[in-house]
This record gives sequence, C-alpha cells and structure tokens, in this order.
Amino acid sequence: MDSTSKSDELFNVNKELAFQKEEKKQRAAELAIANDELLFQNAEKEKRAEELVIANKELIFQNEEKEKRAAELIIANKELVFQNAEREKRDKELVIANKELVFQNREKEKRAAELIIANKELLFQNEQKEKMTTDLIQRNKDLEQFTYIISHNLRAPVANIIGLSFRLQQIGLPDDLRRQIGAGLSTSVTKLDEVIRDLNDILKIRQMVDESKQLIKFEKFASDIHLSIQKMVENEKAVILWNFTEAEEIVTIKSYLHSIFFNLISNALKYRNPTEPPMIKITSRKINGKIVLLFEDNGIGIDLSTAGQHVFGLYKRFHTDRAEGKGMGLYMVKTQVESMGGTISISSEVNVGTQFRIEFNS
Amino acid sequence: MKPLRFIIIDNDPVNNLLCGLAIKDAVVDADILDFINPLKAFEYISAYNESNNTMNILLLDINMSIWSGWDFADHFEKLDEKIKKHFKIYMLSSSIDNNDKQRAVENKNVVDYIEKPLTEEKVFSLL
Repeated sequence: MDSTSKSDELFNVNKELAFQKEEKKQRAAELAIANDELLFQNAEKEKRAEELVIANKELIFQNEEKEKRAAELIIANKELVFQNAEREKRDKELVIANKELVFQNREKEKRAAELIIANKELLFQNEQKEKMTTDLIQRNKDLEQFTYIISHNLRAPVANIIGLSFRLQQIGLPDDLRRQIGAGLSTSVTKLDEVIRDLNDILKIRQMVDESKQLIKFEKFASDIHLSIQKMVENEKAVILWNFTEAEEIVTIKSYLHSIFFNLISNALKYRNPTEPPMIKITSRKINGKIVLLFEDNGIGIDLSTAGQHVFGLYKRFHTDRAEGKGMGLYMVKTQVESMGGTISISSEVNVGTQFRIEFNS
Repeated sequence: MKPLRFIIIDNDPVNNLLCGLAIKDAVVDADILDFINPLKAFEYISAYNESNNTMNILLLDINMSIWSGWDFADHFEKLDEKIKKHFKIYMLSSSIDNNDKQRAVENKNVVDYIEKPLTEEKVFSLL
C-alpha cells in the first residue's frame, strides 16, 4: 500500500469518526429531547398516577358506599320479601274472610227473606185475630142482647100470665075484673108470640150471612123498591129522590139491602112531619174507597140527647104517641148492616129531619 | 104511722093492673098511682111538695121505652135530698138475670129488687 492510500484511508476514517461523533452528538441531543420528553411524560404519569390514586380512593369510597347501600338494599329487600309474604298471607286470609262474609251475607239474605215471610204470616194471623176478636165482640153483644130479650121481653108477658092466671083462680071475682084479666091474658099471650116471632126473625139474619153476595145496581134496585111501595108513597103524598152517580153499584147481600131500604123509607114515612109532604133523599158516596149510603128525610126528627145510644136498640121506641112501630125496624137495619161488615150512624134535628149514614166496608 | 102511697112506673098496663090488685090484697085501702110514661112520673116527682108527709114506695120497671129504669134512677139521683127522702125505689122487673138483681142492689138509689109478678107477700115485705 502506498502512503497516499494510507492517508486517504486515515482521512476517511477520521471523517467517519467525525461523522460518527456528529451523529453521536445529534443522537445525544435527540436523547436529551427524548429524555425531556420522558421526564415530562413521567411527570405527567405521576400526576396521572396521583389523580388515579385520588380517583381510586374515590372509587373505593364509592364502592364502600355502594356496598353499604347494597347491604341496606339487601336488608330492605329482605324486609320487602317479608312484607310481601305477610301480604300474601293477609291476602289469603282476606280471601277466606271475604268468602266467609259472602256466605254470611247469603245466609242473612236467606234469613231476611224468611223473616219477611214470617212477618207476612204474623200480619195475616194478626188480621185474622183482629177479625175474630171483632166477631167475638159482636157475638158477645148479641148474646148479651139475647139474655136481655129473654129476661125482659120474653119474661115480661110470662110474668103477667103467671100473675093473671093466679088471679083467675080466686073465688068471687067481679065480672068486670074477670074481663080485665081475660083481656090482659090475651094481650100477654099475643105479646109472647110476637117476641118469639121477632126472635126468630133476628136469628134468621145471623144465619143468612152465608147467602151469596151479588152485584147490585143502586138505580135499578131503588126504582124496584119504589115500585113495590108505590101505594104507601102515594098515600103519604111523599117524594123519594135518589142519586147514585158517585157510586153506582155494590156487591152485597140483596135481601139485606132490600130490608135496609124498605125499613129506612117506611121509617121516614112513619115519622113524617104532619104539616108538609115527606121528602126522602137517597144518595151514594165513595169516601176513602168505601161506599156510603145516605138516607135523608124532612120528618119530625128525634132528640138524640135523650134517645142517643138507644135509637138502634131492640124494642126501643121514641114516638110512643105516634105510629104503630114496635121498635124492631132500626134494630133489624143495624143488625143487617153489621152482618155485612158495615156501620150505621144517625144524625137528627127535631122538626127538621133525620139522616142515616151507612158505611160499607169495601 | 106516716101515710103511704104506691107509685108504679111501667109502660105495660097489664103489669100495672096486676100490681094494683096485689097491693090492694095487702093494703085494702092503698093509695096507688101509676105512670105508663117514665118522663111523666119524673115530672111528678120533681115537682113534689117537700112538706108532704107521705112515704112513697116507687115500683120501677127496668125495660121501658124512652128511659129505662136505670135512666130513671140516674135522673132521680140528681134531685134534691129534700125530695128524695120521700121516695123509696124498688126495681120491679120481669128479669130473671142475676146481673139485673146485682145492679139494682148496687145502685144507692134503689132499695131492693123485686121479680115480677108482684104478689101480696111481696108487697108485705115492703111495708
């Protein structure tokens, strides 16, 4: 090798070294930069780590909180589960209780229905009892009336006959007295017969209640009666008026109604005012669903302050100076009205007139 | 002895005839007054002279028109004691009902009850 070559080689090596040196310098600068960068990054990382530590602490804290919360939730959940179970138990109990109540309700309804029936039955029985009581009171009154009739009306002529027949047996009786006694006997026996016949008539009314009821048109009924007593009406120059527009008909026992009309009309004619022609007004009314018959006259009337309760009594007479009545008519009327389940009342004014009011039970 | 008078109040003339005969059997010259109408009898008694010395025996029927014997007794009750003391009321009735007898006995204005027909013996019991 030559020297030049050697120098060249050295030069080259040198150049290479300088280059390497430069390279190294550059590399060092780069490394310094890189190092700075790393330092910066390190600081950043440390900051980040610190932040992470804080964040971690925070998370730990939050975790603890969450755990605490979870524990609480578990407890709450357990509580809810327990409450739920309780509720279910309660619900089941309520279902049972409800079923029981429904059953009890049905029983109560059944019981109520039974009570309604029992109540109706009691009401019916009560009505029956009231009817029976009224009937018994009426029968009792009738019996009292019969006791009275037997003791007084029947016994009176008998007592007379006992007395008179005893007299007849006396020796040396003056003819005049004998005749008087004979007349007395005749009167008493006739009276006895009369009372027996009256009793028979009265008893017949009680028996005839079974006679079937029928529909009676007042208008036709009244004109039929008017026709049958035409002579009597003409003799008295009487006027009989009627108006049945308010209640035109009634279902009742015809023979009784006939007797009632006949007795009340003949009563009005019998006790007429002598100074003016008799006027009889017959009207029907409908009051509270009940049929009411009114018989009004312009007769001599009757002083009810003395006659009062006796007006309808058997053998009771108030105008003994007048007419031939024996005190049966109004008694029969009252008996017949009552047998048909009605009531009769009287209002009267002396010398003005009398009004009879008959109320039929519908 | 006080003078005596019999007053019969009954609407049955046959009874009044018999009563008259029975009274005269017992008291031959008896003073007898009879009323068919109880109202007329009551008028008579109401207007009675208080100074009169006669004792009146009243034979009162129960079953009469207008007033019954009980009605008559009720009206008699209201009269002045000065009049009432002159009268003794006996119920004279055909009734054989004990209730009537009882009622007569219980009535303070009625002395006793007599069952028809009136006889001499019954009149004696009143004297």
